[in-house]
Amino acid sequence: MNTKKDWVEGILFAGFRLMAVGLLLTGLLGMAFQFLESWYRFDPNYLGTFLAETILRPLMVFITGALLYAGSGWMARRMAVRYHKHSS
Amino acid sequence: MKPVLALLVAFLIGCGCAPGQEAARPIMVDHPEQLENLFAALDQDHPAMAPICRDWELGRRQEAVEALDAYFRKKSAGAALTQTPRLPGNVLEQAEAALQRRYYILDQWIEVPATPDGGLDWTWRGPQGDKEVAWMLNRQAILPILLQAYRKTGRTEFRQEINRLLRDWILSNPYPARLNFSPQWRPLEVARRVLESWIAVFYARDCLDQDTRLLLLSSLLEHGDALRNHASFWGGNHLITEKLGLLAIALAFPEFSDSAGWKDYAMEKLSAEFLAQTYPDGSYKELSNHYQLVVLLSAQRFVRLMTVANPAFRKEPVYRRIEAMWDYFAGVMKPDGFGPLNNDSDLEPNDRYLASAWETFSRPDWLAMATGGEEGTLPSGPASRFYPWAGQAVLRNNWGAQADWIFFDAGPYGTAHQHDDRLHLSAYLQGRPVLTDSGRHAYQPGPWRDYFSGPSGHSTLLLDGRPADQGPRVARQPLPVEYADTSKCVFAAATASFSQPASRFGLPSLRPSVPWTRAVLYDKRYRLVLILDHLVSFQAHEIQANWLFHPDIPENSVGNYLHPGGPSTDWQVVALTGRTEPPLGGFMSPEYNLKRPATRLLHTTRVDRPVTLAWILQDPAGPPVEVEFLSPAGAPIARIRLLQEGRIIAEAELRLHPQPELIRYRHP
Repeated sequence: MNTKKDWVEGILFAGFRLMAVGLLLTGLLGMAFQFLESWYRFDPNYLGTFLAETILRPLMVFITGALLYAGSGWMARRMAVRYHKHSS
Repeated sequence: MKPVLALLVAFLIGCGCAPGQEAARPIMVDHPEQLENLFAALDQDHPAMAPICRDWELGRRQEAVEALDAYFRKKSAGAALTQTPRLPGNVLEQAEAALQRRYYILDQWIEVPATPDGGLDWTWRGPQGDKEVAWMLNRQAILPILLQAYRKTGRTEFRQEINRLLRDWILSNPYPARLNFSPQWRPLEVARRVLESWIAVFYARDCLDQDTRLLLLSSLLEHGDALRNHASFWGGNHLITEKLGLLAIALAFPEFSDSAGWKDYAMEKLSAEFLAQTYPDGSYKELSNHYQLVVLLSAQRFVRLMTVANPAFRKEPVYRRIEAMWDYFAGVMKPDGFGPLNNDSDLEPNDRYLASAWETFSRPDWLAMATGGEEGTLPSGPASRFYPWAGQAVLRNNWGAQADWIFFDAGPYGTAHQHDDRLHLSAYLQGRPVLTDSGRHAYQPGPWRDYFSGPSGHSTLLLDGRPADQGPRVARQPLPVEYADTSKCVFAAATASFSQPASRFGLPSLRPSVPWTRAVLYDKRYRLVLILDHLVSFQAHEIQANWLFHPDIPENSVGNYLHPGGPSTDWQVVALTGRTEPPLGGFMSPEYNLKRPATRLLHTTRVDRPVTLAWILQDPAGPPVEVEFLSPAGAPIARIRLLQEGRIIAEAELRLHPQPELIRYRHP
């Protein structure tokens, strides 16, 4: 414990998690606010446009954030592996 | 008197000079390197050059120079090589002014300062610092004007000025032998100088002194080298002009040993470039009528040169493509014979160019289109045209001077000289201009350039002050544009999109894009235009409809031509004409550097849900036409009735989303 690899892995993990939380919040809040702003103007004639433009864009950001959140541990471990041999 | 004249002639002949000519010695003494280069580049296998080269190698240099000068003094070149652009009407005025170093460049008189040794400052950009001025100056269009003035008047000052200008340019601008962007050796200016001035002047009878002729010949050799080895490498209309310049030098001077190689290279490149730089429907990829013409003039010269050099040329694909280019040029022509002002364009008289081009391709329909049917044979079939690759629909009722003409531009952005004009509309009604494009005005960056190339100079929509996303620079396949020509109407429609601005971190916005469909319907019987703008938004936005009227229409009558119809909308209407303070605008430019006040009519409103905006464009002579929507506001399928004085004159059913389509249109 407390080797150079551990430090790098910890910093990377924290960075990825921070980015993931940022994306999750951006996507979630974007989706919520845009839905709240638009839902009462919804017109079933434009279901495809409504979903693609109002919901899908923030949803994609949310999903990206979720994937980054889930994969941050694995990514941090993989990226820190090169520091293993040089650790003291 | 006669003996004195005879003595004078005998003296001149004794000096080895013809009247008006000077001895060869100055060039041999002062510029031996020019002659060394020239003689080294002559083709020793050429029957006329062989003895001259032999004299030169044996040290009989004076004889070689005299023989070379005599050969070229007597030689003539074909009309295809020596043609120059159409000369202006004020040839004598321009020639007189040139004697005072004043030149008419880009629609203004420019006085060019002298250098300390008495030559011209060839880098002079004019009082406004416009580099275009320096480029035009170095094209030396003044030389054919001076030549024409000399032919008309016989005044030797004009001939001497030609010689003086040529010597000054050649001796003060040595060949850099590398790619160079100075006004003197920029590749496009090198080519234009050759094509529009130098070859014609070189082969003009009794024009050049011996010194000038030999200097010009040596410089033409360097021009050929520049165009072969140091030309543009990025394509565009420059490349075509440059290769044509190279071909012209190769054909005009087969005495150079490099000419055969230059000719083959230029022919191959030109054929490839004409095909690569145009769409199959004949439109040039910059999508500007002005640059269509620039390339067409090169194409026409290419055809003339190639028809002589290679009789089988007419079967080549490039020949058919050039014919399609002229056909497009004819198809977009307005009722007054001028072309549209799309992208960076000036008002070009398409009809005059067609009247001289139709014979080359045996196309009497172009002549008929250019003359309103007075000459030639009018084309069969509908008069309206749709160019799928250019994405342009030209809606019209006939080819006469009193025709209606609507130009709907839903095509690519263009490869250069673009304007932000997505789904722009220009229109003529009853042969009179109503809605116009802004024109190019000038290339100097700044607020004027922003206005003329921006959305404010076009009849288009803005969402929250921003234009729609422009089309791709180049179309890999025709963009989706719906077009239908029926017995009752002509219909064209396309869809664009308003993207939201990027976030402050440069990331794409999460805010929804707003699709915008513009449908244009021209009623053939009532000669009116119905324009529908359909937007799909679920957020609140400010919509601004920008209409640019032709300068001939006074500000107080623009509302008689165009008025909104359909669901009651709370419009704020503002008219701006010739405004020179920010926000400047309300101008159109018929020519480079010129601008005319034109009314810019702005309709502004707010929308927060899908909406269809309707507009009627009609000649004010008739009773106004109203639009009545039978379908709910903003419905994807619009059912519409057109009413005139309470009477239904037409019923329409149009799909506006997701793909526009004309479902039905009828006159009850």
